[in-house]
Amino acid sequence: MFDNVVVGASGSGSGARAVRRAAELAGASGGTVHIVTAFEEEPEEALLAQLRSLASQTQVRIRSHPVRSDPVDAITRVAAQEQADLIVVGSHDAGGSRRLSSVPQGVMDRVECAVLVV
Amino acid sequence: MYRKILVALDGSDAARAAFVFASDWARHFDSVLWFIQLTDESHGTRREIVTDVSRRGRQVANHFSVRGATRGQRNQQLVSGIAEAALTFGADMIIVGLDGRRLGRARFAQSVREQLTAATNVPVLMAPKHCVARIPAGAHRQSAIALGPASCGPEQTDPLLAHV
Repeated sequence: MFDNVVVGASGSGSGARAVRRAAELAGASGGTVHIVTAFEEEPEEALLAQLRSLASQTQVRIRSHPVRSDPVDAITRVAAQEQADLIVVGSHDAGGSRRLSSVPQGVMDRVECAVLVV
Repeated sequence: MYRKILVALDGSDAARAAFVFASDWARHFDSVLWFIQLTDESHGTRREIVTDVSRRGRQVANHFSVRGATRGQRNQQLVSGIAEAALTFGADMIIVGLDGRRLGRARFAQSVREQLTAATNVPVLMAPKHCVARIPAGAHRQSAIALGPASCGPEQTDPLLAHV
């Protein structure tokens, strides 16, 4: 069903949930989960390692994509590059607000593939 | 993992795409689909899509109409209807196949999705647009979609889309 699942990840709770869900869906499809983190100056290696660890709880191929850009651009760029079947993003910002953050909104407005907001 | 899915559709191409996508999902992940059709009757018109679910003897449709005087009111009704249906069905995911343009694209993008996310903790999936191409042209808009528990589990091996 999904060869390539791209997940936009951050250190927030919904970001971790997104990574777990993306890994499960990619794993159940025999696909690859692509973990995208956006950064301004230096990639957050600790965060990437933490997210890879989360994803590796599922039997799935994992690729990391640290991208120097804003999150929406990073996610959509990797999604296009990897021909993503599905993008998974967390719904809320790191503050835990119930409001839909700008990232899923921006992603949904810019891509053609399925977008799952968790 | 997402075994009970509510699929919210209107009569648009986005709904057709969502229907195809949801059906593929259900077959692949052995999920049960519940459909809810949303129509905007504010202007005295109704557009519907066919899925052939009714001809397959499934349960009575779940039909939900919005009739608000303003787009904001209609969007609010739409969000409430989807959230309540998800709660009623115990859905663990909502697949949305609604055309933003028909309810006001900007408002849809910035209002309905946000309201839906705020109204429910259930994950929301916006279906891909490319699934539209998989439905033969002219095969839709023939009759009302029939809704209810469209099981795509192992007990139903015949594809849901066999007659679409």
